[in-house]
Amino acid sequence: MARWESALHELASQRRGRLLGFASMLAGPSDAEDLVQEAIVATFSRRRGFDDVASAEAYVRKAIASRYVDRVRSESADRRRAERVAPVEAVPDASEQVAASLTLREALPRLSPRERACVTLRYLSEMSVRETAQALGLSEGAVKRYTSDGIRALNALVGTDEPEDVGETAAVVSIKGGAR
Amino acid sequence: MSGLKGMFGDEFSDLSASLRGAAEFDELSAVRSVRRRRTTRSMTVAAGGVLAVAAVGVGALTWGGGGHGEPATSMSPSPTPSASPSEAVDAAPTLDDARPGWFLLAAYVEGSESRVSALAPDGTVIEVGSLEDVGATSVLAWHSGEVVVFDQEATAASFYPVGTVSRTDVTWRLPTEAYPTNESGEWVGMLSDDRAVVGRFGGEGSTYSAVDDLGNESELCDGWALPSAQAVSPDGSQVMCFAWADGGRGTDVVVASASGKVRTVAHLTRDWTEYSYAGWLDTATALISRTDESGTALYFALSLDSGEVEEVETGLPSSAQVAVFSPEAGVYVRQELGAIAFYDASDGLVYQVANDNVDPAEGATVRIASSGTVFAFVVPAESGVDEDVWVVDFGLDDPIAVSVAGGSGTAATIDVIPFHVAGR
Repeated sequence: MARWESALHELASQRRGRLLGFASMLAGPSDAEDLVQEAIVATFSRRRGFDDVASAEAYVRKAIASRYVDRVRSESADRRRAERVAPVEAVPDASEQVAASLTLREALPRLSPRERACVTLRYLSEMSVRETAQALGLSEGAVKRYTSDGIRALNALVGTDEPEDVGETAAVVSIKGGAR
Repeated sequence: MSGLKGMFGDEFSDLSASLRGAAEFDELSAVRSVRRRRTTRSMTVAAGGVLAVAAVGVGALTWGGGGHGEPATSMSPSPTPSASPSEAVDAAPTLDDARPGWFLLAAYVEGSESRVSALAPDGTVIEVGSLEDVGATSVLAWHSGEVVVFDQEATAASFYPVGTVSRTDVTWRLPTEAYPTNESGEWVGMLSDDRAVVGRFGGEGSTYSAVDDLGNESELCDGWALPSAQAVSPDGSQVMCFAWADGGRGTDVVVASASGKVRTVAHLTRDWTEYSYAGWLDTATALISRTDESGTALYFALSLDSGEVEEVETGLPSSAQVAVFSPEAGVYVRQELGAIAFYDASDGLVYQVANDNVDPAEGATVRIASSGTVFAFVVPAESGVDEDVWVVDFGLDDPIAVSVAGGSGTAATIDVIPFHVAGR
């Protein structure tokens, strides 16, 4: 058995529940299975090695997030072609929300897809703004905006008072190679 | 009340535990998929002979720490083939696979034979033949499998090229003379009924006609029009022309349908020289551009149905450089300092190819072509050096910019002709 096959087997047997949990929080339970399957195949199709199953899980999580955003991007592109205008994602205005005590599981679907992805990567994977931008193929400025908007919305929906200021300042880095 | 971090952690623990016993992961299917992809990558690199391995560290997206041009981490050695003989393996692309996403490369070398090759989305280059073989001087189009070539008369002393337009295909058989011209003319594109749109220019103005392969012509529209600004709609049903108006102070947008109906759909208030064509948003909405007083490129959606013109928010940072829009990929692409940048209207910069090889010769313009979700761009070089060609398949999960030409030292000028099918 090739080394990558052993790593894939170990990941699937030990970490699948965690990957499904991550994908469910990111995209909802109905899309979680497909996202995890696609992400595992994509991750192991590239010739990379992993130090351990934890690092493999980290790669797959990024792949899950990237594919989730790609799906959203593709759907947005279809809508744009139909509407002929660039869409602006509707951001729930926390000030218009009736103060509620929803559970996090009830609140997450109310965020826009990009907000949901950014806050999930921040709190579950503890990724920095720059890491999140690379994983999702967004600019750092966009990640800050989506994260801040997502936190504000969650504060209103679940009753927390998390600061909205993402607070990270990123040095300007010239992108070599590709950044998506 | 616990903060968001605690909530996320608790929810994740609960979900992970509950989903651990979910339906079995199809590990066998995943392993087969991975084997197939790994084998295809190896064969593609071997068959195409492109600098894919070098490009991974230069033009590729890498996650987890490689996003700044570093090589992909911990590249494991190529596995020995483990696929069972009965498993299907994707072969290297051949000319029979040509479809949207492919390009023809026509390399012109002064004083030498001009070569034509086909470029696949993965960077594979397949030789087609020389222009001299088919008695042509240039390639005009690759439409629905047919290759349109032009034989320019060397003795003609006119402002526009004069010669013969003919059709062949990638088997490179001798072409059928389709559109002999006795006066100056310019190829515009193909209509959905396979008739060619040709512009003829004379002292009293210009005429655009649809020409079939028997040479029968039907006039589409006449009047002064701008050779650089005609465009055939993606479904091949209409031709958009910019025409002088108000003594040259304004611009009319004239639309001619394949059926022969001609309408002036819009009037633009600026001189025709200020407008350029930047692509199509959909089959009936063109994207045009002009620069404002500060030199910043502005973009407008122009409806061929209603004539409505409205400014488009592209997400592009201010620049005089005009971007090209691909509706299939949903991105704007343009040259920037030392890079080719891809922008999404909502997310801004989403991809970039930036390395030393993408810096064009000073003052030169990178030529960008798109076919489906695939982009090819030609980077002009210094005198005496080949132009460099790159291809990026933006439809892939992980786009990789692959260099497919350059380095032969023959100082070729390269035209990139996208594979086009009307209606796609």
